Amino acid sequence: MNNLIEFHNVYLGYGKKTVLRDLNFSIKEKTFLGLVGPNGSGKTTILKGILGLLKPLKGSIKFSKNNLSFGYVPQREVIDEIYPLNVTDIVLMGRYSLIGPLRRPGKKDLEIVMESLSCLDIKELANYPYRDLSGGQKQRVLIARALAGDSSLLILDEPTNGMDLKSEKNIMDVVQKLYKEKNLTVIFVTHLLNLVANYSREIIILDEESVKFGETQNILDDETLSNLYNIPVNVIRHSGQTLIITGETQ
Amino acid sequence: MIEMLKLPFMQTALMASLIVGFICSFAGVYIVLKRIVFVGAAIANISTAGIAFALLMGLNPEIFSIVFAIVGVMVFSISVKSGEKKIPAESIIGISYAVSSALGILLVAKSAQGESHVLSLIFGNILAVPVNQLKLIALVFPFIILIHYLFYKEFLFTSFDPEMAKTLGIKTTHWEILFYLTVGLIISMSIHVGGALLTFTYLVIPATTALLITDKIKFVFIFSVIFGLLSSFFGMYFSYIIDLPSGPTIVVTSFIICIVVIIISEIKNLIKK
Repeated sequence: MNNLIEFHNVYLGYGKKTVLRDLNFSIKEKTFLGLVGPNGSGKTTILKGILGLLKPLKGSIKFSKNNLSFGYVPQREVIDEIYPLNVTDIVLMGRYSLIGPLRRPGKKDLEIVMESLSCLDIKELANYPYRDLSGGQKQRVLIARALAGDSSLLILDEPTNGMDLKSEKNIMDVVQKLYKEKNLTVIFVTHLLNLVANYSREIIILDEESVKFGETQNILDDETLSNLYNIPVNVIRHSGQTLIITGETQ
Repeated sequence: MIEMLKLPFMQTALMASLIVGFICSFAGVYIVLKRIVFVGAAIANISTAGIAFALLMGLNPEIFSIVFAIVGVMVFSISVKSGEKKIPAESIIGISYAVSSALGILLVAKSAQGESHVLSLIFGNILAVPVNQLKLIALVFPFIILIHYLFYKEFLFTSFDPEMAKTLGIKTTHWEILFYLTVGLIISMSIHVGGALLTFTYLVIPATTALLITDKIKFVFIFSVIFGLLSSFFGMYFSYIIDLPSGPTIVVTSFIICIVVIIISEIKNLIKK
């Protein structure tokens, strides 16, 4: 598979403060990549670098296509619910850059919005106020908005934050279904190791000292994780599932 | 009421308050949604300080009120967006509000005419609006409304989720600048007509009232404008029949409309339950 995004000696930070140094890795097309690390390790910083929201202090981030469009799914908490918008209004925003200034959304745009909602199994919520939805439903709306922009790259920032186990599984299953059915590239940021272990094909592990990158099965092991978090961590594989637990095992 | 409408100065004042009520309550929806209500108050005072400065220097007060308002708007748009950690944006707005109020008065303290001019801009005197002023706002405001109509989705998206908009290649900074330019123009020109207090009221109360009664953004704009127009009309009417100052009467009328709407929506909620 071709490289979609390449980091060449990239330094990222805010103002004069460098947060991440000398990043060198590439993200393949059609991969399902988990970006994981302890709090403050720079996960969101890398995401902002990919999205173009943060320019590298040094080095370069190269994209295989000139006009690569991002299907960005921000954290639900950044959405200000004071805005009286319904689900269709929000998903339609994913089309705005394609529609362009001075033009109104047309019938085709509304059809694409409905298709996106159908993919996420929330078509019946089209006219509901966004702020009245549950956390899981809101997350689906934001994913539908990302899909409505015809993007083949889905980037999710902590998609299951603050969710119970069932909602967490539902959201990740939906993302995995979209990944397979729509042939997408998926990059998701999380601090939940069990999610990364069970859903992503490739992984980037960030810590203050280094960046580890590789296939999830190869890179997630007791030693790497114990060093990363400075506590004993065990990776247990059973019946095709991976379980990561902390503490000494007997 | 017909008697009131027969008086030429009341006709001009009513027309002026309706135009300012319309445009400010429209822009107020963004001001309230973007949580920059006190930017509106601070800009009103900065604009007034611009007038005071122009009077002191013997320059054109209208041009300077607009220039000061636009510069202030730009500074606030950057400070609100940048999210400086050591000094909250609210503090910058609060300091600007206080200092510009004081400057406006100090700059003309030695000129009796200038002082009364500045005080009239702060508290407003819509009954004394010159017809030329009315013509100017009647000419400029439709143009601003047209800009907002044409670029509605860009203004909405960059207000609601600027980060997402940026990732989709939308030039959020350009749209923010255009948005704040229109807001600066609206505020500075409205102050000349109705004063800072009335302008601030139109920017906040109608939009807040509208948000209480609908979950649809297009209706928020419509209701906000309706409440702004109702406040203007009935405020002017009450001020005429009770013989009270027009600006403060419009402010109180706007507040009464808000209270009535809250009561009605609470009753509706109780009936629903």
